[in-house]
Amino acid sequence: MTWLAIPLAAVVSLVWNTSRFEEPRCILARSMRMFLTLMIFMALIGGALFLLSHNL
Amino acid sequence: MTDPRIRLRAPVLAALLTFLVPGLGQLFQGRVFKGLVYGICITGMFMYGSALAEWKAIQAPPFEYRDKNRTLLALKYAAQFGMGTPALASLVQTRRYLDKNNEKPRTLASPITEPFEGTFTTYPADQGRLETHVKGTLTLEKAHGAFGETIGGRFQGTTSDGKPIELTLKESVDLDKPIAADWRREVSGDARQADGTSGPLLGSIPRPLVNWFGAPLREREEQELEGRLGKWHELAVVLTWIAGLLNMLAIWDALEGPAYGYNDDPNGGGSPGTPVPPKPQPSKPAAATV
Repeated sequence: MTWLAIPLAAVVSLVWNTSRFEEPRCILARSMRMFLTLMIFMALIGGALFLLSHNL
Repeated sequence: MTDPRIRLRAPVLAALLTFLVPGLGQLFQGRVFKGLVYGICITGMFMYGSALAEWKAIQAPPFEYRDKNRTLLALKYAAQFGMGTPALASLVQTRRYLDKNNEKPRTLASPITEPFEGTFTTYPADQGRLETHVKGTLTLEKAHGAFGETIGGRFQGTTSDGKPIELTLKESVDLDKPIAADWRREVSGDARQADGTSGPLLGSIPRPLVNWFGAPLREREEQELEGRLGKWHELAVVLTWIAGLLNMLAIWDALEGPAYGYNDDPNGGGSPGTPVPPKPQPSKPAAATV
């Protein structure tokens, strides 16, 4: 189930940036940047939760 | 304000088209890339969520069929409403479901012949209770019982070990209502074999797509679905909410254009054939000119 976060983040990034800009190249570049930001953010949160729940 | 380089053809119609089918309005406006992104991403997410929830993710108002959680159902539906066509279909199906004619039939105007799958239970003297899985064709028709017209029928098929079986259903067949969320329509009744063996026959016949898609779940059905799918059911419903909310962005894009403009170039360039406006030069401070 966790892996579904990847396509979900990709879809949200693409649709969000498609609604912000018109030029495809710009949409793709901004989507990629947003996707990576989301992934890093979720990895950090996931890592923090993993550490906090270690040995529980 | 819409960027002058973006031509939005018939924005209201396009917004309506996008509401009905994500991305269709953008395709109508000639914005093919955006139309495809919206269509594939939003529809794909909605379809995946719906499939995870066994196509029972949407429940539309009115919620008279539920005793509780009506506000929660309304909020869920509000998020899904952005998806347009399936949300409207669900609205129609709920009305059909709550219609006074959608009741368990007491009799049938015309015979029904459908594939049937179920269990025939008998009580042989030497084996106690014996459940036989049966599969075949069930014909239901009008019958005359002690209290007027009812439903009777016959079944022809095979048992799970391949033996042919024929059953006659007495005039006491219980058939589920025509419109409900379950794909299968429950049938039960007392059946008798040619050799005199008799017992209850319990099973189901298929329900047509137009009679189950978007129909509201009864509380018992919802609890069964949630119990069986667990957290996947919650995820599925959340995906349909996200899809509905994302389509709101697509609808607004068809109506008003992109929120930030053509692209993120501060000079406003990038459009083929469009001259890039010169950068504004910073004016010298007044003191320097003195």
